[in-house]
Amino acid sequence: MELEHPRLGKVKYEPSDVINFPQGLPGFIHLKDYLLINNQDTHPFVWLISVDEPSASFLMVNPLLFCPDYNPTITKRDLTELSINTPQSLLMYSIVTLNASDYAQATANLSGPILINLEQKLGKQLVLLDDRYSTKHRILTA
Amino acid sequence: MLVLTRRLGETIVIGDDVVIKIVDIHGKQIRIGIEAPSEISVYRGEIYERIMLENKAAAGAAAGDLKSVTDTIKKLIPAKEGDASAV
Repeated sequence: MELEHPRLGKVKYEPSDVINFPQGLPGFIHLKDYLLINNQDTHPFVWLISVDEPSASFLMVNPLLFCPDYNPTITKRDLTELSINTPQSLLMYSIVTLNASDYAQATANLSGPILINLEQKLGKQLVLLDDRYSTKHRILTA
Repeated sequence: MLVLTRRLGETIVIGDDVVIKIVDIHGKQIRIGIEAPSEISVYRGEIYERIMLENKAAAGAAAGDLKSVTDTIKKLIPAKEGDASAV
């Protein structure tokens, strides 16, 4: 299968590559199916792109790269939803908000981490219940 | 909106399986206990709202042309290069 991405051009994928977010993402709850794209050009950043509306794209990065102590609370309910027993086998990303005119202002959303069970092709954006983490965490510290 | 008055320890039942209980009242703060099946998500309203706005901002910012997005990322990477394999 193939989709036309406004930025990445033609993206080929297999139906088995599609990661289902049963609840969508806040603000995008109508979009449930995504591809995770690991592009050499943007490594270690990855793209999460909606299969149904490819213009809905998110850049993501492993938050542990710039916030080694990051330790969001993942509940049993979250794990059940992701059909997994231990958080260790999950991929974790933070969505990045770029500031094209000033790259140093790029932020990551640590309050809403994306968890992906790659084996079961299931994903979820957590909405953390505590206030420890910001939605606008500066990736580069001044 | 349905508005109900409840006292400490009293509950509200929504449908067959959602129970909301007033656990503690302390000045302007009220502690609420929520029992709900796992398929029902429970959020703090203001945090859900913040994440919704941030998702929209992120999707919008990533919608620049790919080259400027990639260039922006490239500038971010060198500082973190040693860790790049961790992803």
